[in-house]
Parts: sequence; C-alpha cells; structure tokens
Amino acid sequence: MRMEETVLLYLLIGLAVGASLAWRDRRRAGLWLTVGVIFWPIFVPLLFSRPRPLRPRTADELDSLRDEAARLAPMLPEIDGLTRAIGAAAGIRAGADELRRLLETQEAALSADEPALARNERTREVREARVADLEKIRTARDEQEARYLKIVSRVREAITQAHLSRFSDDARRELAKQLARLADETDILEPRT
Amino acid sequence: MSDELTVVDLEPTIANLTEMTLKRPDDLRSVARDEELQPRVVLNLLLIGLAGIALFSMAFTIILACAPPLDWVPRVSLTDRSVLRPVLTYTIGMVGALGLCLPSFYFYGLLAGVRASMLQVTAISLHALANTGMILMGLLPIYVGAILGLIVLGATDGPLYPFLIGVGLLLPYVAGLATLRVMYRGFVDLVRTLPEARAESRAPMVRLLAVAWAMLYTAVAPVTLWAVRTQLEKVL
Repeated sequence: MRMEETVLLYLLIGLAVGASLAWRDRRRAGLWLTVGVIFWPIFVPLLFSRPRPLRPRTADELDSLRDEAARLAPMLPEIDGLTRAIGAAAGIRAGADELRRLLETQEAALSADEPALARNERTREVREARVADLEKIRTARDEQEARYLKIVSRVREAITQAHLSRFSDDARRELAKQLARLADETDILEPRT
Repeated sequence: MSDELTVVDLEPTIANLTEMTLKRPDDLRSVARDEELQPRVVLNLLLIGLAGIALFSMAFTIILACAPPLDWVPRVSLTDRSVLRPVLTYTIGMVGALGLCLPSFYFYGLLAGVRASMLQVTAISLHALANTGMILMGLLPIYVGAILGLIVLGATDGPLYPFLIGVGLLLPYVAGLATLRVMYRGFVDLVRTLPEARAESRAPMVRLLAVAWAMLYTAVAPVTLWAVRTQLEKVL
C-alpha cells in the first residue's frame, strides 16, 4: 500500500470516528471532529464507552442513615444531633439537584440557540456571557455536591463511632468530639434560628 | 466557611487540568478515574499536550530557519513548506507513538489484573503527554534565551552551538522521558482497583508491568518520530 492510500484510509477512519464523537457532544462538535479526524487512535476508546447519566443521589442513602441514627438513639441519646446534620445534607442535596436541573435546561437552551448566537460579533458576545453563566452554575453545583458528600461522610463516621462507643469509654469520648465538630459544621451550613 | 469544608475545583477544564498537572497530580489521577469526566479529561489533556509540543516546535523551527545552518541538521526555510516539517513531526510523532502504544498499555493492564478501562488507560497516557507539553513550555524561554545569547554574542562557531541545536532536536523526546514517572505512577495507582486482599500480592507484578509500559513508549517514540519525519520529507 502506498503512502497516499494509507493516509486516505487513515483520514477516512478518522472522519468516521470524528463524526461519531461530534454527534455525541454537539456543543463542541467542531473540536471533536477536528481532533477525531487527526488523532482518532487516541479517541477510539471513547466510542466504546457508554455515555453515563449523572450519578443519582437517591433518597435511600439519607433515609438509611436516618433509620440507623434512630435505631442507635435510645442507647446513645447524644446522637440526636445526627438528625439535624442529615436534614442539612438533604437541604444541600436538594439545592444541588436544582442546580443540576437548571444546568440541563440552560445547556439545552444554549444548544438550541447556537445557530442564532453565531451570527455576528454582538451575538457571539451574548453566547460567551451564557457560557460563563453555565460555568458559574457548574461550579456552584460541584461545590454543593462536595459539601453534601462531606457531611454524609461525617455522619457515616459518627454512626460507626456510635457503634464502637457501646463497647468502650474512649470511643464514646471520640464520638462526642465528632458530634461537636459535626454540629459546628451543620451550624455553618444551616444556622440555627 | 470552615477550612474543613473547603472544596477543591475538580472540573476538567483546560485551566484546571493545567493546574492539576503542575501542582496536584493526585487530583488529576482521581479525576481521570471518574467515568463521567473521562471524555473531557482526555480531550483537554490532549489539547494541553499538543499546545506545549506545538509551541516548542514552532519556536524551534524559527530558530532553525533564522540561525546559522549546520550540515547535519535538516534545512528549514520560513518561505516554503519545509517550515511545517518540525511542527508536524513532533506533534504527530509524539501523539502517534502514544496511539500505537495504547492497545499494548491496555493489555498490560489486563495482564496485571487491574480493573482499568481503555479510556482510563488513555487518560493516564495523555496525563503524561500533557506533562511533556508543560515541561517543554517551561524549558522554552530558557532554551530560546540560550540560543539567542549565542547568536547575539557571535559564538555560533564553537562547539556549544551545535550542542544546543542537538539538545533542541532531542528535547521533546527527553521531556517525554521525564514524564515516564507520571505514566508509572498512574499505572501503579490502578492497584487501587483491586480488592484489598489481592492488591498487596499483585503490586510487584503491576510495578513490573508499569516499567515495561514506560519502556515500550521510550522505544516506540523515537521510531515514530523518525518515521514521521522521513515521510514528511517526501511530501513537504
């Protein structure tokens, strides 16, 4: 096979890979098509990965923590504070879910308006402002998700410690410390009225 | 907000990934493990790597074209198509070598028993490529300064000038070698995908294969660079 034929074959495969990648992410279709045609051996694995939906944050997670806290409460009355922390986590999760929904709506709206927004310099400026707005929502969502995970991790640690504290006084003192820290953090996230 | 709740921005934008490449490689490895983020991580790491390599090779092309010529260095002129030769050789060569090695990298992973997808292996390899790009961008001002110094001082007759040109020719490859550690760390990090009971017994095998992985790229990269350069000489 001559060089020209090899290059042609390479570019044809690249075109197929690039077009598939562009189809998957239409917001960056031009970029995907370009890099897909030229560097398709790098991007082939992307075609074999199934696009995944965002991680669901089911209510089960908090419900099971709430149940566990309720089960331990008669033996360890001090863990009442956990309920408040779980409530704060639920609030944060609801906020993150709202931001996620808002982001999806705004991204869809931007995709629909793309042709109109590419018309001239002024509309391109509007587009940039909307992209910046999306970035703000994305950052806020990520922050809320990280806070949620942090609180849930602390609650889980406290529940583990609560189990251990039934067997030793040291563990019970450590539990008191963990609960105090969790209460402080919950105060910051959800000030008492 | 208390320090305990400080949130690190892990969004795989080009700016964030650049910062993570330089300062927080552990964060980058953890982002590269996230299947939702992998497509953007792969794309942006490739762009970072390409930007660094292209910038260096463009500067090197200008140096080759403007500085006194050397017999053993291919001639480059800013007025014809030969100007594209170094840029295309380094960008296509470096990424091409990675593309050639990727399937082997994946099978090495399977052989080591780690649970890594092809996409994850690609992300680790591109982390190394992005690192190469960053190193080249960092070295570029020093290199240009040294060459310009020699030209301004009229010291291009001495042995230092051909030595520096030789360094420039090899620098992308040498920078690639410097990032083998990134590849090694990324591969060894995959031990985390194994169950705790097996991780300890498999770790030596994974390390051995990580070394083999790095050596494969070391061997393939110069051959690819040479092959691309030879082919480009025929058409440009």
